[in-house]
Amino acid sequence: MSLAPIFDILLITALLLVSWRLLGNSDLFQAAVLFISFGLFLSLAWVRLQAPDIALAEAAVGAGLTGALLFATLKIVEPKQGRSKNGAQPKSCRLDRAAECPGRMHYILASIFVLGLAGLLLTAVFSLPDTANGLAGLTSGFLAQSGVEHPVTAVLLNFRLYDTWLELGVLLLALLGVLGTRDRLGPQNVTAAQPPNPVLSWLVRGLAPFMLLATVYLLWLGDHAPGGAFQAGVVLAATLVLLWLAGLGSVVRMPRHAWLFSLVAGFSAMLVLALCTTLAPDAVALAYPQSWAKALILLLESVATISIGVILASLTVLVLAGEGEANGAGAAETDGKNGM
Amino acid sequence: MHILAVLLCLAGAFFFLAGTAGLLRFPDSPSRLHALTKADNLGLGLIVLALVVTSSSLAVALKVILVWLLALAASTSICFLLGQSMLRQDQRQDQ
Amino acid sequence: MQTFYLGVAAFLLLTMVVGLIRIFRGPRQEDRLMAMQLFGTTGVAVLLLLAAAFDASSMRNAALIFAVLAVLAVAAYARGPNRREKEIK
Repeated sequence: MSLAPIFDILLITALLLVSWRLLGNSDLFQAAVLFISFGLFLSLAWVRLQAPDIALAEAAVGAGLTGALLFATLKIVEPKQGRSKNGAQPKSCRLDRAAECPGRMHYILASIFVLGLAGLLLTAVFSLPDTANGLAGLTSGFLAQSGVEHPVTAVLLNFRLYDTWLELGVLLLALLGVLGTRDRLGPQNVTAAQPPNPVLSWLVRGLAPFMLLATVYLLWLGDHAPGGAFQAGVVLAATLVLLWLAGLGSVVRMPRHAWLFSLVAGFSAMLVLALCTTLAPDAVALAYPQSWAKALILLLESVATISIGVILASLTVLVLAGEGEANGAGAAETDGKNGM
Repeated sequence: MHILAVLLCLAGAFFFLAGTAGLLRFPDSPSRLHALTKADNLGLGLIVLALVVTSSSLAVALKVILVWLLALAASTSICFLLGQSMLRQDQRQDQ
Repeated sequence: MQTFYLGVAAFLLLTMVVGLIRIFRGPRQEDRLMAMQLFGTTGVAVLLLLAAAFDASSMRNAALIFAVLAVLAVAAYARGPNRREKEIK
């Protein structure tokens, strides 16, 4: 077992090396690739820290969706970046060359803020009691009443349902933000700028059934093992984005009502639950009876998976399509009319 | 059984090493792509084989094989996409 | 057997750390993506080995997600010829 520390030291080295190069880099593309690699290493780190739920989420978000979003954004930013350069020496400011270079003051302010935050975190870590177990004991004590066997799912969908509910709201807000900048009311009829690649369509045709299977599998796992609605939703979103990239229809071909319904299903299901539990006699909001717990959690998780999947897929597709619209304004106009 | 697994694992690790060496040492991008496709598929395949012979249950073995097949299909297509993207750039450079 | 698997996993991690050099150097965008793709596959192998070493099936699920989602970023990158030629040697 003496090999485990070696593995951990290597992992920490990789994480530090990647983050150092990632932040101190003036090439945005390299930074994007490094960020995706950082996600891969971080996922391994979560596995080593015995937090498999987070490892699964990081694997799905960091290695999959974030990469697609970063590359899409890069293609929108890059041409502008090239124009402003004009063959002159590239400026040495990082992360945001398209905007005006931030002055030295920004860096000083930012470092004061970061140092303060690091100090607070350090004091928090050192003031932790040595033997305390957090709320783990409390959670496992009430696990039998939660309706599921996996403590993380019990916390997310029963003890702290409020948090999960608001997180779905945050996702909805993010999509609204993207829609606001895109001048359209939804991803309907958004087409990829290029004709789909035959090899990619072939791959996606074969892969998509397995990805849907993985979605259902992760959802089902949440009941008794690491997994659950968020991870399943992200895999669903990745499937939908891949289908769109391969030109095989996806959120862009969903009827508008179905699309809207899937967007709000997760949030409103919990809203309805909150209303019912508030109006019921002698009940606390969102505290549902123990006998219904299992069925309710399953229902909420399924609905949340669909919502998370469709929201994230629409968001990614809109950002990916933004590139084509930024390059060819004409295409954006016709698309916009069809989209109404 | 265990000796077989150890040998397969070592062979797999060797192919990963070869892939990384090729990625670092080969002179141009297409040859690096070539090193990569051979290495990661064979390497992962041999390690998966090692895990299959020592696996505790049939379900685990099948799942590991499924992961390998999915990775195989994905990485082959990824390499095609990357190669095509390089080729297109080169062609436009020549024009 | 557990120690052996852990050792192989550590070795693979070492190859990943060394492979980072290709991401740093480039010179083409595709070179960096190749290194990233190799990391994905190596990460799958490391997770499978760790899953066997610690007998944890959740790590195998993480490997499954790695394998299934690896293609998304590159597919989003390689979309037709509509791209600026940049940083070619």
